[in-house]
Amino acid sequence: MKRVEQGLEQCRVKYQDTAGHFREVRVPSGEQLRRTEVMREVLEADVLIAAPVAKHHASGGVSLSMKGMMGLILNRGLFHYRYDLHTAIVDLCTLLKPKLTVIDASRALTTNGPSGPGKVVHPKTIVASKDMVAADAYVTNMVKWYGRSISPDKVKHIRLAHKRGLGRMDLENLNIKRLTL
Amino acid sequence: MISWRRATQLVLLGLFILLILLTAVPLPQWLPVQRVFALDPLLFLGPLLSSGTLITGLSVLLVLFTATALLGRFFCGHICPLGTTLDLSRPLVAGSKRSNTWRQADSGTGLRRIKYLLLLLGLAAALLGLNLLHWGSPLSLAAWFYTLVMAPFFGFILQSAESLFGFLQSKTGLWPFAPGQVNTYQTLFFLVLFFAGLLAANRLAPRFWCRYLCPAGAILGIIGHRPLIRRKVSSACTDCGLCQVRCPMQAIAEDPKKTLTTECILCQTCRHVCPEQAVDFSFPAKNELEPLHLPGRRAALQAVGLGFLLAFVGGAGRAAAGDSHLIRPPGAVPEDLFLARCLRCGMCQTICPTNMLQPESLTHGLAAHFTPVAVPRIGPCEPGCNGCTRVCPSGAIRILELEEKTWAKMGTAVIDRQTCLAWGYDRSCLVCDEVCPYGAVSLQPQEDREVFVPYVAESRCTGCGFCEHDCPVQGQAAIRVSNMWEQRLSQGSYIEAGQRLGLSISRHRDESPAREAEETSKQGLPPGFSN
Repeated sequence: MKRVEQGLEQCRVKYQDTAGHFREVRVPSGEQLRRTEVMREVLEADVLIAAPVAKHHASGGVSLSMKGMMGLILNRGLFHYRYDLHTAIVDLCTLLKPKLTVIDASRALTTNGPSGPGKVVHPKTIVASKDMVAADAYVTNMVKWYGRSISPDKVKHIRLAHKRGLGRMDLENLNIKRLTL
Repeated sequence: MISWRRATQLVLLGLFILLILLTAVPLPQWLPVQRVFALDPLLFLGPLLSSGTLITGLSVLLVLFTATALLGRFFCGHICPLGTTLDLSRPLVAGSKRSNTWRQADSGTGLRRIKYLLLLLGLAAALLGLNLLHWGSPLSLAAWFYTLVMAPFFGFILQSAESLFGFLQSKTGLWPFAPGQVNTYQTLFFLVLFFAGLLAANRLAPRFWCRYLCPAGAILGIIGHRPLIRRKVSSACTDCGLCQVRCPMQAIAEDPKKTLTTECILCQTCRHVCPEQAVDFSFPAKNELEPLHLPGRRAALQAVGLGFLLAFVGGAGRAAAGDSHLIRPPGAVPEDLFLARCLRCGMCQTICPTNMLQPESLTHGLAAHFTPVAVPRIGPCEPGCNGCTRVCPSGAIRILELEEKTWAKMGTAVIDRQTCLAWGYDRSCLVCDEVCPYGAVSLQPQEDREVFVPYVAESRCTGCGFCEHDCPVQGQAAIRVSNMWEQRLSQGSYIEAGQRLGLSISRHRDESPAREAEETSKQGLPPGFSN
């Protein structure tokens, strides 16, 4: 097996896989998720930037910046067996709210996510926003999932996040700039 | 000053430990794991007697036997990693009095015979199909000690140090150790007790194990009891008895001019301690030999009988196993052959990067004790790794290329619909589908349910256990690998055999099974979306 960082100069990938790498914190605005163990490096970071790729997710609907925050905690199992997945994702995002979200939608897995194999389309688009909910909503709206247009409010965690004021999914009221490179 | 012999011992033990440290993924091509284990006569005899299998590396053993016939038990005193370990640990356990506590030359004669009895017992049991000889094999025991106890221990220390001093690393980047995954093993408690006993016995007498118990030493002693190079004592000897006291093997008879060649390990301690410099090792003139201290006929018969009995008892345990969750490493030969061939050296467990391979406890009887068993809940079988198949010294796990290993089906994942979050509790969960490297799990809509539920396509499942490992159900997973449809071939291609059975195992898939592009839930939306 090759090392992850092979070919990347001056780059070191750290394994963050044991409890020692995490610290338990409170989730003050959590409805179901009240405490969770978050990677120390994340808690100590100056700034958090979400950079997910666009994927369908058979439980989450889509797996974008909000769903991606589950990658930074130790016990994801709880999201499946104890909490409502979508409510807990929003709870987590009240704690881990990136300053900037950059979604790589140059390609998107539109079926059978998150693992695939499934249908991959090429929107050739990068979406950036200071509002993670808006970024997720925009990509949800832009990509045809299972060949169909699906509005962001059909994704429960986006819907809940909007309702709870974490961000906005009403794309029609947002100031969206499109650049072609 | 350090003697040549001690230097040899240290270098060889260092190489043995280096071998163990290098036994990791990726495995260096040149690493002679197989050949090293072929050095032990018991590891050769066990599979031969119990299954008629000649394991590779016979040439190495022939060299050892020839050298032993010429030199005596030099292996024990110079090469054996367990012997060196016992020598080195002696000062740690011996307390303040470091002399030989059982100093009378004849005091241990009866005990000395135990090793022959253990050898007979092991051979007898092996003859009836129960291979226990690894219990007496110094290479196996040394490998257990360093791979299953010491390596995890030092890994644990390093890992603890890393989390204790982690801030050093984050501030300065100076912390040099990144142990990553540290393997631990289920039988650790037993192993630590076992080796504590072995080392503690060292306090009673130096090299207690080698003197009284080691069956490999017994074989080498018999082969080398008329060596060409022998201890010679000149007339300068004053009969002071110092050599008798200091001899770590108690190999010097009441008459200090005589040597028990079956016990002498050529450490030459006697030569170094002799104040008159009367001791020399050279070609013999007409130096009389002490007789072999072999056990009597009655004791020998008892040992053989006990061996037969153990084979019966151990075999009964094996027959009673019937455990559908006893999963073997990929490429393990059919179970009976596997049990006979496996040297219990632990190298497959050492190299396993996910810690999946564990030494089996006594749950499945004496026969299966310490054989590798795959425990998916601890770790899954990495698709990109064939480490265990490449280090097995005895062919208990066949050498398999990656593609062949992929087809060496370890079992089949089975879903427990009572405890599965989707099936049993109507919760939206897809982890098994998400993590399956072979696309063998798919989520499908059900007429009577809100959520999509997982199905296993058994022909695509290789039993790697990613699903079981990552299943979020607490305690026992709701999807478990059972040994149903496991593929165990002693020869031939796994790919061909699998294809004949209609298997279709591949990491590279364009489509998941039974999945339509327009699947919708009851709400008329694709999976995961809701109104």
